[in-house]
Amino acid sequence: MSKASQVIVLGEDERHQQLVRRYLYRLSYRPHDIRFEALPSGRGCGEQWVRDVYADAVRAYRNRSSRAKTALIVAIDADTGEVERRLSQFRSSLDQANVAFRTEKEAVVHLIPKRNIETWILCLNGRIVDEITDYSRNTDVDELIAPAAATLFVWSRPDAGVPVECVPSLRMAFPELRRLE
Amino acid sequence: MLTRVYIDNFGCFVNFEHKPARKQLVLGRNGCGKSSYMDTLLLLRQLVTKGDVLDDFSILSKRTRWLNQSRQTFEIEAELEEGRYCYRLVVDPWGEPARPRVVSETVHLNDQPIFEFQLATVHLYNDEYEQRAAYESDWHRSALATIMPRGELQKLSGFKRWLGGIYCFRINPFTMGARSEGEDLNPRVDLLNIASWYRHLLQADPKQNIALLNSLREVMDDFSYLKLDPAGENIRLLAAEFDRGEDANAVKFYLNQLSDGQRCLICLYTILHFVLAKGSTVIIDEPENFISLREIQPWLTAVADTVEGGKGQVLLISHHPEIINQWAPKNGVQFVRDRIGAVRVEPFRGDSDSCLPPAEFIARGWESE
Repeated sequence: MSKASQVIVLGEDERHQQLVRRYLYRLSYRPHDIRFEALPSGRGCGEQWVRDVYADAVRAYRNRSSRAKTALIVAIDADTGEVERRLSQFRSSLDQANVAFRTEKEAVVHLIPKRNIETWILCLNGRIVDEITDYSRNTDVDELIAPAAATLFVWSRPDAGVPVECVPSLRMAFPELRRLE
Repeated sequence: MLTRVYIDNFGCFVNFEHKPARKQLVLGRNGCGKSSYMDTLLLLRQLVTKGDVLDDFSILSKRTRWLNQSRQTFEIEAELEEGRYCYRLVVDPWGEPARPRVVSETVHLNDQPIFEFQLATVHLYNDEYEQRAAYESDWHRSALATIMPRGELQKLSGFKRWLGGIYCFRINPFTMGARSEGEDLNPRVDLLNIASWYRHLLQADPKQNIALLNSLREVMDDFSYLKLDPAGENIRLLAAEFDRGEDANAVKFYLNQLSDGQRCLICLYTILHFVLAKGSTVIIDEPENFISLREIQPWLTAVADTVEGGKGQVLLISHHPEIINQWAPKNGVQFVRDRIGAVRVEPFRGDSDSCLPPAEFIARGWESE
């Protein structure tokens, strides 16, 4: 299938944006094909902001999809809750806005790292991590984003051999990313 | 990379200290010293690389109005391959009528002196930190400017080369023409000489030109390539060629025939590929001027890609919401000035409760409350 002419990225913070951006480059997207929604001004309120604007983002995605191939990537940490909790929050945001939940065929991608994006970045770099520990203060995370995106590309290919150490929330991302194809 | 700038008794800078990051957005209200900061760096670069007399820069008249202090101090620190460099220049008025003189000018590497100019005498140290020469020099100009690169002064020469390679831009498309009468090694701040600078870059680094042309093909519809048309002996005219499809001839526009925005796009991507990607420190004042909203974020993303890839250092000075919303939360610092007093630097602190976009937060004036 042809790739989307534009990918809208709704990321919780800059690291979410960076991982998604570098992953999209692997899929041959260029800066011009990617549009990042503005980040909120305060640190620590990113997940609230993503949930607040999610319904509008889905609505805008559908409007444009009717005339041009578009994708929407939403990246938000599960934090101490479960991935399913975020999905149900998305569902209720859509309900309140009177917007239908995504269909199987829609290129609306939910990336929900548990506990946070740093867990995925470290995991994708071969570190043994769990979904309970908070790795957000690890100092070397920023340099690991590019190699993490390269591994994400490999692991998300159909029939890729994913190591057993891969955390469950990251495994859930692979079928999500195939929505871009 | 540039790690610290200290300015005292110069314009609105009193005991001012700024520690730039590899990628930083400088924010602040009008008149808070953002552009003056870049001008000060330009002045120091000019002093040290060109060796002009201090009088040419009207340094004394730029002493802080409300201070009763004669000495002016400038410091620049950089983390380079050889270690941590610290350049310090102290100037005061001397004689009648008063002229600016260098009280002291020093360069330290990892806290050891490699160059000292005090009381009109230069002390030079070799790369092993051994004093090699002492001689008198004119204290109305930088003595560092007179040092020529040579074998035993590689560390000092390396710093001087780095300082001379700090690029500051305030792009002004109105001044740009297509005509080039030769190669210019250095760009002017406003890029008036883009044609001659590009002529040099093309010769010096043709590989980067491929990257530049590819970028321009993405940002300008139907753009094909840049060319330097001969227009007399040694004269070239910088032109952009656009394709009109298979059945039509390409159409050529000289630089001055392009729109202001197109000229700025050529400049921004030239800076990206020929300067930043080569590892230099770049400061750009209001890079978004004349650029369409659609083009700002892709350029910003390309800049971030380059810097995050370990190449170069970039400081952007901007009021534009598009840039503020992307860079302020993690990479923003604001210059703050209380009334008409001195400037200080603070990290940008957003509003953690309301989740307003940073630009809206600033537009409401809440960042300084």
